[in-house]
Amino acid sequence: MEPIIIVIVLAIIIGLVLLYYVRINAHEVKTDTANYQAKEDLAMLGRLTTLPELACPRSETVKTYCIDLLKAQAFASMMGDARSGPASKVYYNPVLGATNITLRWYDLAKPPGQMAQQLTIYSNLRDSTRVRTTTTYFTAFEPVNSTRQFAMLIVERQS
Amino acid sequence: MRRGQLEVSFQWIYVLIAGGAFLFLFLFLIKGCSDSETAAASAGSLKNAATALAGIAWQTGARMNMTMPDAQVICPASSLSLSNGDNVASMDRLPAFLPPSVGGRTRIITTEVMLARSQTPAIPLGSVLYGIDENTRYLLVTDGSGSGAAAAMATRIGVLLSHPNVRVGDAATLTASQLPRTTKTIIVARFDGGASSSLPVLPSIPSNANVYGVVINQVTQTVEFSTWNGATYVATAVAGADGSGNGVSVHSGDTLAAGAIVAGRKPTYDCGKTALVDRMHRLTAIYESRASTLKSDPGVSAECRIKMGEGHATLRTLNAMTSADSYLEALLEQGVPGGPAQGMSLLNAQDGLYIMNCPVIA
Amino acid sequence: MEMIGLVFIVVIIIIGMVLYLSLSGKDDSGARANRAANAQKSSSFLTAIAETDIVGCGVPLSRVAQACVRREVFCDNGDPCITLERAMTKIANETLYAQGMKYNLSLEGTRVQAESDCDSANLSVSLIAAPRQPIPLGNGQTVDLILSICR
Repeated sequence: MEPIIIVIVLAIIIGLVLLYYVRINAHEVKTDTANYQAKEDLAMLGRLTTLPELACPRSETVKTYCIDLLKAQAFASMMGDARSGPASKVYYNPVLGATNITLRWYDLAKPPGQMAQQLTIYSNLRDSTRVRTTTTYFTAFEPVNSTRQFAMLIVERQS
Repeated sequence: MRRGQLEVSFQWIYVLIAGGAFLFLFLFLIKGCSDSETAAASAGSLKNAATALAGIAWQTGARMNMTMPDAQVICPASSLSLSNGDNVASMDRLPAFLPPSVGGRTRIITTEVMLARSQTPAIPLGSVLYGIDENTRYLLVTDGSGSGAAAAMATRIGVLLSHPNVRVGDAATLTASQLPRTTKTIIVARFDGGASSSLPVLPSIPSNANVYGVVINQVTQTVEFSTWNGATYVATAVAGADGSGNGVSVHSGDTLAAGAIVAGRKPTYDCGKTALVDRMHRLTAIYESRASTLKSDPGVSAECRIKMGEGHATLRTLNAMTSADSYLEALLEQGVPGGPAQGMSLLNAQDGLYIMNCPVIA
Repeated sequence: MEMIGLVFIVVIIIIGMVLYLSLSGKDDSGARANRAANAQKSSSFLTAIAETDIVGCGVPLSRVAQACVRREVFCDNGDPCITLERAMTKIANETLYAQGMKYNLSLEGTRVQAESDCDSANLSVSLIAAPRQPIPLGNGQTVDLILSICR
């Protein structure tokens, strides 16, 4: 009788130790994953802010992240073009990856609720079920009137 | 049942319970371990992806259309490098191409400057720096003789240093050196006639090479660089010839205010040039679309619309060009050869718009 | 003797359950990364809003903030502090509030404020350290635009 009880107790102790170890390991892996994802988000932000395809003219880029609205529209058209779009996506894939990049800017002259306008600059998300979204605030530069509008850049990437 | 038999039955029950507990725990732990491994694998691949993107140049892939000038040469796959998040903090956020020029001096910034200056990853052969820091002059190294030394150097190119006062026709001796206590190789150009390099004595491999192009006007007198272990070296160079007749000669013209190409050999340089033109074409296509909107928008003043129209015509002519050399020449210096914008260059158009306080091209 | 063993088992099982529950409790993996991301987001919000042009004035919000602090008559001859507060409220409502965040956006040293369910009571437990955007006033002085995101 006693040996069986001892076996049970040992089994429980070993099991608890291993369980604890596995949970710690899983926790560390989750933290690692989250940290690398955050680092990758910053890397993407770095690329987006300096791509000359989107960046504001030099005289306008003062302190903030800035995207030129007309360039963004031209870039989006290039990506969406039936003939050259797929090749363009292949070309920019190493830089922008499997992401959807949307620019949303706000016209303060319009009433609340109608201020926002949106443009999908780049759409290359393959699996829309597991998506991680990051949002960064930008300045959208409108070159006709040389005005700077408040904007958000929404990047959805594969999780 | 007798008491003894009952005790035996209880013992078997305890054995079963113990066995069941073991089995349950093992199954649970196996499931936990496999979940953990899957997550670890994906964290690892995230790390690898981040490192890969940070460390290597941009691969344009098998679909890149390249001209192979030498049947025995294979263009390196890496042809264009862009920044990564590691350089964000030290990176100048000013855009790269076609800024307004100030006092006749154009300013173009690249993030690749940081890679070269910081000596972190080696710049792969065939890489194109699509813009260059105005305070750094890059030497583009290519070998005119095709000798073994140059081929050896081609595999050792790690960093290009900036050198002051280098002008077209200047010559120097290139030395490949390894920084102590690192695996980094640097190339130093030594020109005669002035202060010698203050680099400590390092194992060096003398080799002579041609420098294909030098770009920037403004230079610094010394180059200071540091290694990962914190040691700092300073290199100084002055112009001259090395006396042996061989050396480095500096050419201008085909390198590119818009980029410098890291080339160990001319075919590699050509590959890089093709990749650069590919990229510039995409940029100027976007600029053309933008200029088209601006030249006809009633919100833009009439004078600015006229000026922007000239810029648009220049861009349209440029984008229709198929020859890489003509495109680059027209893009950067000589202006477009024909059409309604004949003789106009984008840099001049940009300048004009800037001076008139109009919306600019890029 | 058996009772001691039984007690021992029960104690071990209880310890094990406590350990298990403690580890399966709040999962803060990546919390540090999230905090860094949120701080960066808040900081980018402040930078972007400071550079946003105000309708009818043609100058950025930072300039209006300067006028507010210096008590200048400005733009439409109205009170620049009111103009500033309206613009801040409009932008914050459309962005932060629309994303479900509770915030307090203010210009330091003034009554200019845009906030949503973020009062002094729960500011003290704000999840993110409030970033600040300094706005130069001249003479080397600055005034801060402050954004606090609250629990």
